[in-house]
Amino acid sequence: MAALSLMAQQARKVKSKPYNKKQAILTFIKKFQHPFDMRDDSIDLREMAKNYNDGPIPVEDIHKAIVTVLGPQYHTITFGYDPSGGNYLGYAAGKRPKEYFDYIDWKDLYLWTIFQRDVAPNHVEKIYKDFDESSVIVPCIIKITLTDGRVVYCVWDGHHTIQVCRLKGYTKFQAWVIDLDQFTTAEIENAGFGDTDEERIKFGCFIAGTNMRRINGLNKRPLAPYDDFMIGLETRDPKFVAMNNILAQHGCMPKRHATCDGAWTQTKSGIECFDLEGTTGPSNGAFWSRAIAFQRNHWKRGHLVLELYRPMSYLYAWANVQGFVLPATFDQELAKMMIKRWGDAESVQEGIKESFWTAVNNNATVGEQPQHDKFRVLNGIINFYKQSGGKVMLPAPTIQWKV
Amino acid sequence: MHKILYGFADPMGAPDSKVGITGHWEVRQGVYQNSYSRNSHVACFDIAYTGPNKAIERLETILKQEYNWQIERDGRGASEWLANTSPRDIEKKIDELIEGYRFKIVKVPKRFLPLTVDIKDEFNIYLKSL
Repeated sequence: MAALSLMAQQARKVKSKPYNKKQAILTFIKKFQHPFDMRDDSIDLREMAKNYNDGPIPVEDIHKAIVTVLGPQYHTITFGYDPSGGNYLGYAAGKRPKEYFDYIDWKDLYLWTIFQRDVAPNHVEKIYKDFDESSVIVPCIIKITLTDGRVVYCVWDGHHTIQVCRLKGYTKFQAWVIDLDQFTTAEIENAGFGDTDEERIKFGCFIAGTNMRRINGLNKRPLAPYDDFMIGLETRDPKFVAMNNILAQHGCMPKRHATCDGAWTQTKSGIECFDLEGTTGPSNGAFWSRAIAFQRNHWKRGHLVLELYRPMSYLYAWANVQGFVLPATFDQELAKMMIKRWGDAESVQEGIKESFWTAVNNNATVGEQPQHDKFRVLNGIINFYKQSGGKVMLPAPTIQWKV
Repeated sequence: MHKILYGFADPMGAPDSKVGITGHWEVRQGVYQNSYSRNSHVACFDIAYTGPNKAIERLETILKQEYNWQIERDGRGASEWLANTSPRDIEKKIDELIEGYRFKIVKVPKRFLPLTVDIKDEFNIYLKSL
């Protein structure tokens, strides 16, 4: 009995505290003076950079943040893998690693359709027109010795880039090379291929094809509109700078997530509003700016609500094009009506959309049904204002219903 | 349909509070009461607000964002506890949020607080009157 009791005590002792992601993140964040958001889909590096005087962040610190989010199964992983094989370029003959950087002659470059896609001339042209020597991502190539003894360097990623380099007059082509000849027979057999030259080549095609799909499909993380905007802004893209100035004027800022007051998250829709035209041509954000002010002046807290600032931008644009003057008092009157009816800004757009669909289901609309929410809400705002006794002349709605 | 957003202090004495939302407040209190005898503690809400479902849900989301760093653990039963935060702190914060966001949400009058099932009928009449 005593032995059993001792075992039970020992069992209790080794029971460890279960991992909790939120707690791990909080513990990690406490090491920093300026807190920043850490989520599965994004670690807010711009906020994190404030701990480094807005300068470069050591990637090791970012790495620690990543493994904190990923969990304990990643905490103890340490590999001693040196991909240079102990050398930094200038490899000794016969002692190259399996993968290395190199410069390849045009005549030695090939494309094997087994593991490559078709080529798009218009994509080549697109890269050509925006080309800069400093922006070439190193193409990936597999070096294969064919059964007849010829050595070919087959591109498995970056073919369009290589073709553009050729157009630009390159004579040598930088490449990340997988050297099939450096793989041992055991490695090839372990991957399920046989011990012949043909099987070795098939193995090479397998590696190239798998990597091609990994890089271009399976593991591709497209550039999010938010990241595109922020990089454009911080590298002085004039349009994004102008947009940011408008946001800042109203106490707003671009954000990935709508988690703070004034957060603007719908990059593409913001650009759409910025680009709206008036009677004298591009508005350069004049209608968008007024629409943002409309929300921020009357709903002091909260993120920017897309289906409030977008339809309001369109309303100001329509009025401008159709020759209506909307005085500042109109904004105050309309906001007051909306708050009385629905309350918070999200409820305003939800309420308008809800009334639209109720009217549609009851066949109680007159006019053509808009195909997009922005025009449903825009028409809803015009109808609501008139039905609430508003006196300012507005453009006619394209569809009417009782809001 | 109206929901209730509620908050209460830890009955065991920690300086923490729980917030939550419910469409059936008596049932929710019953769940809490299950965990301890009425002789130890009567389940109650120290603060409560009511309003349309979506507005209450949105208020809860925003409140949790505001108190993100006070929520020390995630997972069931843990993510609604705010560390080192009293119901009065939460009440002050909610009042600010309702004003700033212009929520159509009303604060449950003091005469019903702390809200317990003992005044169920009286409180439900009040809810229906809204």
